Amino acid sequence: MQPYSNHDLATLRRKKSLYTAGLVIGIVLFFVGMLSGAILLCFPAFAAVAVFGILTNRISKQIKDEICTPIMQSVLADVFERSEYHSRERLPDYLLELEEMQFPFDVDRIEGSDYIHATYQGLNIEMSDIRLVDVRSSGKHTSHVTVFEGLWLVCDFGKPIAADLLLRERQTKVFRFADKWFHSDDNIETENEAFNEKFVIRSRDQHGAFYVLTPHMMERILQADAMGAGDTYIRFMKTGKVHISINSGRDAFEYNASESIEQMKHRFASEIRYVTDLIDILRLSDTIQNNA
Amino acid sequence: MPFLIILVAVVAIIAVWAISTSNNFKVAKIKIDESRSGIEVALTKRYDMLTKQLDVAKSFMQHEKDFVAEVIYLRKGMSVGEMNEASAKMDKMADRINFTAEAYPQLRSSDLFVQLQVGIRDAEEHLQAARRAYNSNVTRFNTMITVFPSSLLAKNYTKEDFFEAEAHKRADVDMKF
Repeated sequence: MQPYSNHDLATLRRKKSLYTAGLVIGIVLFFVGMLSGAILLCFPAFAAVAVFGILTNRISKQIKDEICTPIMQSVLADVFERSEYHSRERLPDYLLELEEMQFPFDVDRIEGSDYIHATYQGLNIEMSDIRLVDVRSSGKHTSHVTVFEGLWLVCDFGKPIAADLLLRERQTKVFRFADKWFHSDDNIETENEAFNEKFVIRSRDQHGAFYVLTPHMMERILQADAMGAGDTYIRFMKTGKVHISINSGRDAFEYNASESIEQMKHRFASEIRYVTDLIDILRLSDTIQNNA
Repeated sequence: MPFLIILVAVVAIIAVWAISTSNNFKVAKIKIDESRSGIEVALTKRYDMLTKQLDVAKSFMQHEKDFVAEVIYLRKGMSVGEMNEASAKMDKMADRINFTAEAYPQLRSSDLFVQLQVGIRDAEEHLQAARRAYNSNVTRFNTMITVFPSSLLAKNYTKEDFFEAEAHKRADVDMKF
């Protein structure tokens, strides 16, 4: 297939804008017809909403499939030895292991996209954009609140890691006090005060936690955290898996209407570079590599 | 009557705080003991690996008859000072083995020697983790018995010593090989 140019992208965007405008006008006419009692206006307006709705959806999919997907595949091919990309899929539920992440919020629904399964320097990794939704009901009113939105990465080191360990970015000093009070048995304080201020460290195995969190590792995690935009959760699991999820409030690999193809490629590449930097930090740690 | 209720409430709050603080002291002490035994395990593991490596080294250096390591005593329930001393002696022993291995390329490239080096490195990392866990628990305990108001209930406790491996590593320990 011939690669798309910025001109093609602009043409598709123009079409999308036209269809969206048609959709909005259709909705407005439909309501005007309903309110003024002009039923004859409602039928064509309803038809316009249906037609422009389908066309808008179709062109969004076309941009995602024919422009974003090839860009993503080329970025992945530059970085990983082997990679698979499925724009409409996400990490499967069994892999997310939400209970293990000990999130400070409830999750009722999981959504996501941009599933990547790749091999990075021999390491098996899977990631996708994830959105966690909490459905809250009070009386007759039900609201859907997005409690997490961002990148979720699972690295499989293939061999056991010394300890089950959770690092969760600390919200406020009040949370720190509450954490100390309710989790005094498994909360860990290291000699690195900056790290303690930044992260809640939770493990049943204090020795194993200190073995994984070497002073060098803590410094590198702080540096990586400063680069990322959002709350970071890192879960080391004895099974050999490490989960890293970043609640950035945005879809990392989503198409942005104002970007050119080059800008999109650059943004996707920098998102992937951030992921590989995080993996490099974990790989540099002898105490993970020795066990894994 | 309201005065009596307030008095009872205050006494109850103080009693709950005293029981909770006293229990926290005990829990902190238990954690210190647990992490101290972690250091003992790590020291024992390191010592075992070092003695095996020394045996391998000796088989390559039969003409160096005076290559005899000082005995390092390890036992359960060692004081922090004894653990520091044992750790420092092991550091010297490891330095001596590595220094000797430099002169014997065959020894350096021996599979068993290399395997033991990897094992020793892992044991040293475990020792570092155990030391940091122990010192973290000691810091917590020492802070609890020093700061007000918990210091009011800490009359029966004394400050615990830190396991300062690095300081003793630099100390002059009398070792004979």
